[in-house]
Amino acid sequence: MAVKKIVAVTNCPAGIAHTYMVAEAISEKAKSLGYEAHVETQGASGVEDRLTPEQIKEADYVILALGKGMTDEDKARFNGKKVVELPVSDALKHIETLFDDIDDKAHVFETSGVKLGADQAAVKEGVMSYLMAGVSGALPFVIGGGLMLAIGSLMVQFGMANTALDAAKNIQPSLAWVVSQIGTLGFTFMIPIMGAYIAMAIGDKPAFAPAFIATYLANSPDLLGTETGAGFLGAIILGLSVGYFVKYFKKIRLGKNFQSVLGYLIIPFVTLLVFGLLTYYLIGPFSGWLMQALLTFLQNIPTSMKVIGGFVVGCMLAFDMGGPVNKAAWFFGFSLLSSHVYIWYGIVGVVTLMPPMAAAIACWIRPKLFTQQERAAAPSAMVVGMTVATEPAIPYALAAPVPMIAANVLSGGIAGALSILFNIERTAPGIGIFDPLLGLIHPWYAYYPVLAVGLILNVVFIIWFKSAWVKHEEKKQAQKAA
Amino acid sequence: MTDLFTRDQINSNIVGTTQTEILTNLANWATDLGIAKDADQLVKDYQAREQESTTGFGNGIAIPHAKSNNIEHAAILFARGTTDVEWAALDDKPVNVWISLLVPDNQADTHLKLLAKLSRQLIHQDFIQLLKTGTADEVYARITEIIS
Repeated sequence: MAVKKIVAVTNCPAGIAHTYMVAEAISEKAKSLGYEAHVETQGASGVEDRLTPEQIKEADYVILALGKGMTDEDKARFNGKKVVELPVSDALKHIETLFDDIDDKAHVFETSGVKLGADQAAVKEGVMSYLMAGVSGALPFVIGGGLMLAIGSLMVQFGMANTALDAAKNIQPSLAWVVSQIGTLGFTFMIPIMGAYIAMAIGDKPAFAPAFIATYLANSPDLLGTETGAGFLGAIILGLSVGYFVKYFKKIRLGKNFQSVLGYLIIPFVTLLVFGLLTYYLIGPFSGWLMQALLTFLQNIPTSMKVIGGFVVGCMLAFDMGGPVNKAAWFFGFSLLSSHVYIWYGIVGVVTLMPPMAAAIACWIRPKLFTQQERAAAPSAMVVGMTVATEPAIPYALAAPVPMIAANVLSGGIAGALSILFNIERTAPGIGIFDPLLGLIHPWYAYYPVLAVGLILNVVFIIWFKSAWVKHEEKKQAQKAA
Repeated sequence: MTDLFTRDQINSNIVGTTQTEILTNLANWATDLGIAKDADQLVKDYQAREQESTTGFGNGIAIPHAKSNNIEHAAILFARGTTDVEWAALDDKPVNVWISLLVPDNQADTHLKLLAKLSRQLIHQDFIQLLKTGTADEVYARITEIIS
């Protein structure tokens, strides 16, 4: 029989003693039994000996000896493994018998279905996993904020007042306004949170604060004096650069007296100083300019080429599902609302719903083309997609970028062109597919058919492209094996 | 390491017959040594940790520990008592050896790593035997060796 392979994670409330005692105990016990063991400690000094995806993949059993629990997100990496989870003190107490009848104690761990899928197995190592850490940090902000905004606009649609606070005139705000404002905060903070999570994924905790502040700054046109904020572009640029900066900063050795203040004082301060100023004078204006350039380009499309413009906007909206290209196109449509031009925002009302809904429908029609996790995430992708956000489509696209994005962009473009052709107008952000009922999108008799055509095309393209891609990948695998 | 563990952080004759007495004595001692700011607060932190789950990990040894901004600098206290004290330990046996780990809230990695090394030793029988029966000099030498 092959050597049993064990991976384990230990943590405890203070992160000082039991985390390490149990880690040692598991290693020693496994060694004495001739097993191969890797133990990750989540103590006060952060995560050490982090389990690699290969170690987890090869492990026969996973032991989680936890004193302070584990987030679902962290646990997701053990999806499908035989897991023994127990309190850290029990692990210590029963270490001698921990491995006896382990097969009976272990149960196969399955992640719950209500994942938005940001922590998919599809995301492996490297820059992409950092970006996904950012997305997973930002998603609750988008979803929470988006729903609040939708509720706010729904309240106004039903005739409630939308009165803003005006302290100078002693005007009290209405509830709808308050709800919308809270929602808006979700959107405001989602970008700095994204930058901060990206940075933290690379440089650990000391990178969090500087990246948060710098990204917030880059996304604040009023502070920078630019026309637009840096948006997702800024979060990615700053998150990655702050993260790597801190990662290498931490390697500096200052000698015993100063080493202790490095992590919580020197690194955050110096990093913030450097990147705060860089952002203000360089990165912020640059990425703001980049956003502005995109916008100007879009606005200069001649009106005679509206339909082609609609195709382009549709493509852009579908391209990165809530990313900078999408946001640029969205902003283009949205900013024209103030000039009472509603057709460009109408495209948003059609196309942004399509990628997640189409991915979910494709999952149901051709389950074999998708992983178990993707299928499990389909219902939530459908619901969130049709009402609030395009982001649930991201994991599907990351798992197979070329066919998914190609399918989304192509059908998004066609739907965008149709939307312009039928003069679909959207006057305000709402709750997606229900907008015509709220009077936010009209005419409804054009909107639903165009959406249906777009969706059908999107689903067909996904199945078509992804089948071809899967076949191609299999062939590649077979060649490798041979 | 500078002051993580010094000779005056060993007490082979700690007095007390209950958990509260021992914890109070440890806390007063830590405060006298300038390791903790407020003894009462440290007792509370110790007790809160014991409530969460016992630190008596068996073999007659307990590791009451605290991590809070009440702690001035990271330190190890080693104490041995003449009487056995009930500690609700994992093996239900009374305790007469204590290693207390004290850590400030924003402790730097270097010290935490050393304490982690010490904690890892606690499951090794030879180390446990030394803690229980070794002389103060032997305990001092061994712990200093581990954390250097």
